[in-house]
Amino acid sequence: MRTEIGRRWSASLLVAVWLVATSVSMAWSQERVGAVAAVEGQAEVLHPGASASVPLAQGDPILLGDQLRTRPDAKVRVTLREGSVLTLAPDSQLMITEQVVAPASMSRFQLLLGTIKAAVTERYSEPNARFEVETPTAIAGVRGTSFLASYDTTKDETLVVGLVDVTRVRSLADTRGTAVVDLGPGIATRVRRGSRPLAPAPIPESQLRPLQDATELGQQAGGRGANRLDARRPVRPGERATSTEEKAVDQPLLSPQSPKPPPPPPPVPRVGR
Amino acid sequence: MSARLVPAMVLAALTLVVSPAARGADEPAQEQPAPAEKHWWLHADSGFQYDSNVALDPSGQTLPGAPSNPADGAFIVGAGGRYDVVDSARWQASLEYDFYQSLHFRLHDFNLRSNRVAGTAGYAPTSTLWTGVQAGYQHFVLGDQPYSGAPFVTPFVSLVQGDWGLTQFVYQHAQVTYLSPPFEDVRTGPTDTASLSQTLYWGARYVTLGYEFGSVRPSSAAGDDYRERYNQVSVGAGFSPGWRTTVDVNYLFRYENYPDPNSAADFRTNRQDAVNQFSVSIRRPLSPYLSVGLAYYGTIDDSNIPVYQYRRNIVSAEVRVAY
Repeated sequence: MRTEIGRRWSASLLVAVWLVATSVSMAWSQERVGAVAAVEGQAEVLHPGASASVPLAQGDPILLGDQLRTRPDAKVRVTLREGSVLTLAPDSQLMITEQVVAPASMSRFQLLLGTIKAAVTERYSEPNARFEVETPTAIAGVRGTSFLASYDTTKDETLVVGLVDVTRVRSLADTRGTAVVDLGPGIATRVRRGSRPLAPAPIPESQLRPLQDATELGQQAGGRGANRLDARRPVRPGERATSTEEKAVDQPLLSPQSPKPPPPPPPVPRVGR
Repeated sequence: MSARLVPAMVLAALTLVVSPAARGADEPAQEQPAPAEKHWWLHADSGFQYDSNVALDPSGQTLPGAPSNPADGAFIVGAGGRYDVVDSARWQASLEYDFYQSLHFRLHDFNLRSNRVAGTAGYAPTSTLWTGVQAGYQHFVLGDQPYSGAPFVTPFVSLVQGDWGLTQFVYQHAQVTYLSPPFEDVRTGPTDTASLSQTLYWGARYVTLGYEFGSVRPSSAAGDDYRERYNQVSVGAGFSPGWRTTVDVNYLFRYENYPDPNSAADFRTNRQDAVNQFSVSIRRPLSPYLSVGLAYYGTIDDSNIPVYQYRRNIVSAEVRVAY
């Protein structure tokens, strides 16, 4: 009898644990952490607990545990509830693994594939705040406000580029943080699986530009930002207001009347009257 | 029963709380091309345009020798490319070439061909400051006659304000030679412009404000009608309204002051023009390399000498292949 009662108690306890776990899991999975600000092309999300991905549209909520995926011609921009902005490049995959707003902001993302640009709010500059993007080989943490991370599956290598302020990078295998590098704006490092980050070095424009283009929404074909002026070449203001035809021929094809007539003769003084 | 229930419930709980990352990691990885170290770009454009006033006839009258109907359509083609010779975080040097040709359906004398070649070199003394110079040559052919040719040099300074702004100062000196009548040996001479612009970005959107001062100085006294100084202000904006389109809107106002009495007013009046130019263009990519564009350009030249007054509207539609 006692044994039977004990078994029932055990079963009830396990059911209770299961219910609590389910509730916690559901609450965790349905916690809204942001929203889709813009989508180009076909992007989709796998919600936690869901069996199939669903297409993403502007305004859709982003939940904790969501796995975002962009097709090769797609980009998506997500605004998090604390104001940070994530832009996922084409052919990328990202999971939202942690997002806590208070007492200190803590965010963690897993970049499983592709490229992400993170523009992070100033609240992560607080002492206990943490904003990290983890790839299969590296962890990029923000001490400043903006960086790019790109994981290349063929090389099993992560490229991290600092954009604004300082970005801190370490190998995923380096759990103690013994070999950390800090990246300033325009400075990049690469991290291979199990290796230390390479020495930081300026990234050539030819490498940075495709990454920037891939994480900008609203572009022309060819990968060049339609609305971006290139600081490296001169553009005269107002050029865009004029067509090529107008730039070339700006006057009616009139033959000027020449020569200029001679000045009139000086007045003749009147004589005697 | 409970003995079978326990592992089942534990399995169910684990299934629910297991990290979706693990599920994602089990999925086959897609191959991601590495960021290309691209050093060259090519583009080709083709389309049609309608021009309401190809000959720049004054409103309501036809100029001597000009077609009675100055409106015409045209087939337009363009092509170009750029090659980055040096491209580092501090140094940049590139070569570029652009070609443009309009082929009018009726007014063949106004077919315009442009060839432009330029080289640009730049150096960044700091991460936010770019200094550089562009030099090149631009040549126009109008109808079957060479129209003008101009070597030019354009020093510039760009101040980058993070991800949100760009200030640019551009000076340009060009030596324009007109190569056929009626402007041959008349308008030929140096042209100088100095301009300052400020662009502000908000994501993929921008607003730009600009000012330019220009001086056009024909070398011959026969070109006094075209000697001018102008002040120009412009404003532009770009945004993406959705559906993967980008829109650019630009407005320009230029006040042209010609200091010499004009022959078209019997040397009694100094010409003064107020020029308004407006453009709006919309472009949408169809594939990574193919895009389509629609554009409108409007010009109102309000001169105090009637023969220089004109209005012009150009509408164009084009397809662009860019790589």
